[in-house]
Amino acid sequence: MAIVSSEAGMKSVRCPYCGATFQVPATVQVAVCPYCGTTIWLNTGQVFKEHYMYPIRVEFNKAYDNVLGLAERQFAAPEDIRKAASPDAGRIHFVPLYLYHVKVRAECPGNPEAGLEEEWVSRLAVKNPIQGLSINYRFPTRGRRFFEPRTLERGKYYQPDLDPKELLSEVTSRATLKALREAYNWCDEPKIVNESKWEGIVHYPFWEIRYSYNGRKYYALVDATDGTVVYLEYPIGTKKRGYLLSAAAGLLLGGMVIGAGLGYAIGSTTAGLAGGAVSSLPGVYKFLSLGVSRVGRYVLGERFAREDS
Amino acid sequence: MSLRVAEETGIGIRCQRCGAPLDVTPETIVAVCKYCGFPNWTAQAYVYPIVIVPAKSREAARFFEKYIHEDPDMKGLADKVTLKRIETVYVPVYFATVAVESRYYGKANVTLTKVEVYTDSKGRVHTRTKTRVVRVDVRGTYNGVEDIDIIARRSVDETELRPLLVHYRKTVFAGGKEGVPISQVNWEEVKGEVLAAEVAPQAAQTYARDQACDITYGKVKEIMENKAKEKAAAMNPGWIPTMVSWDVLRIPCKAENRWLSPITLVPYIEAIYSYEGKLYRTVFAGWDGRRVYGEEPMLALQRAVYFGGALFSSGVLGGGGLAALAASAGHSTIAAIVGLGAFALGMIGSYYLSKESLKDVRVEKEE
Repeated sequence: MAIVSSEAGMKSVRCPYCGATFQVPATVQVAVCPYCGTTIWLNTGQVFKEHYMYPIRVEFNKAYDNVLGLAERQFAAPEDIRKAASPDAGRIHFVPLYLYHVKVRAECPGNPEAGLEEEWVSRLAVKNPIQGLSINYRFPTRGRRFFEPRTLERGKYYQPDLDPKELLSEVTSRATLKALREAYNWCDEPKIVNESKWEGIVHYPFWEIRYSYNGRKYYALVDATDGTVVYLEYPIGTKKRGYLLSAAAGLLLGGMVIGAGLGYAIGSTTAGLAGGAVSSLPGVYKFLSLGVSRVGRYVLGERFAREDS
Repeated sequence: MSLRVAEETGIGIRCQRCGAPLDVTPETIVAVCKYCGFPNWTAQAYVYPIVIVPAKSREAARFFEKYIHEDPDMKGLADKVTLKRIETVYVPVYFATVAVESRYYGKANVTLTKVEVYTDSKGRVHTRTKTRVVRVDVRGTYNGVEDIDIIARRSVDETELRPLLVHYRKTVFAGGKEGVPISQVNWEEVKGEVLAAEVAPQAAQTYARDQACDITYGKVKEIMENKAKEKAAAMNPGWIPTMVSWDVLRIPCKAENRWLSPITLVPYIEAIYSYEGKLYRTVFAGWDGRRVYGEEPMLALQRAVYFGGALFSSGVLGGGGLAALAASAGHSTIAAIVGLGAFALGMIGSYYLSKESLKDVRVEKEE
């Protein structure tokens, strides 16, 4: 058995491959030996080979440069951000993700493939994720490697603490529903054949970057494999705040004036005024909400939330 | 020595021909060595052809120069653009053809409307809208062929790759060409990073059937809606069908694989450039240098145009719409509907265009 002892919320695990002993939180079900990279299923002592990682291909300076490069692109960020900002800290997080091969068929009499869904998905394997990272991260196309435990010395390493088998049912539920829906076109009582599998663990590196601007602190998260900024907090520049508030006021007033003028021509000035005012509000909200914020936030859209499409 | 043996002896995984290290994972089916171009298959000995579309890697910098000097949005900015990084990458793709058949059946409720113009006792002209609902049965057989592109990498972000494949079909395929067998190319000429294939041909076939049926459901549903509307309109001359809802909707899809391409290594060239310190990313098709995906700077003038649009949307559509609604109340249903529609559109437009005016980047892609 891999578990050596348990105490005070932690358990000691001896790696069946290299013999090293290491501590993991008691909730952890799948432990990864930080010395040799062997993955152990703690309930059974079973060892997995399907563990790999993405290497750090982007160093801190590059990641920080990308953060500033993206911050500069933001409309509301101050123009001197590159000059006036200074880095406070950078830390690598190795975040575990479970990989699943989802394959669900729905059978009808005479048609074994009345419903069919096949896809590969990944899921964050920790309960408490890091700020700015969603549960269904899509990887960049490049950069997968076999597990190299040496590189783990460089960052904060997370043990997966979610049950991969429980997540499997969650991951397949959408495909099952879709396969069923397809199969109802053929028969009323389709039989679900779920061949989905948990395929392994990948550890993925992210840079946590802290920087200051004008004495205030900001946070960013960067994909350390390809340098994509996943999450960014940035300051709102004083001049830009002025622009945003003017845009909000301008849109409201402009909407009212144009609306009233057009309303006068049509025969109902008040309704035109009200219509212009009310329909400008969604846009006014957009400018105002950013204009009065303390920080601006950017979240990378493309690599998340593809599941429902 | 097979790859699995290499893995177990812990010496890392190396090319079987030249000994260079390979980037492989347990998911890898075939890894093409980036130094010598030799395809290394994993233990499951697939015998499946691999072809490559040679990239013009040596012209990569020229493709970028041409883009920034000739693209209408970029040429004014070219002086302030600095190229930071440019790389050629080959991505493994299967191209599939799937035949689909659907014998569909449905019972629909079709809503029809009719606008009547009448004159009241005081001689004023009014309009009123009448609606009615009729039930119709729809059935038929749909036969189609779908082309499906399968990127042979698992759970990856496909944002930039989809437009690349759209362009591939338009150019290489449309020109009747395909890749060259990998053993026949001069590797020194086409050099680039080659991503390992992670989807086996059989899985690609299944995936293609799944996708083809997903597309078929949408197409057949549209055909059925149109049929239902036509049928209802023929039964009710003078009435216009507007909406269809279904009591019974059966679209059984049967898919059959007709063709699967070799594993095709499709090249793209990724360029990162800076403009006034801001970073942007552009992707070119590796074989002809066409920009297939590009982030471009958002300029002050473009922001102003969006803001002007938001203003137009709230004032003209929103204000004018509500005014039209108020002015027409009680005597013209059509004007009232149009007014309300314009008002709603004005609200949506003001939100959407304001949001656009604040965006950090404009994305252009091949569709």
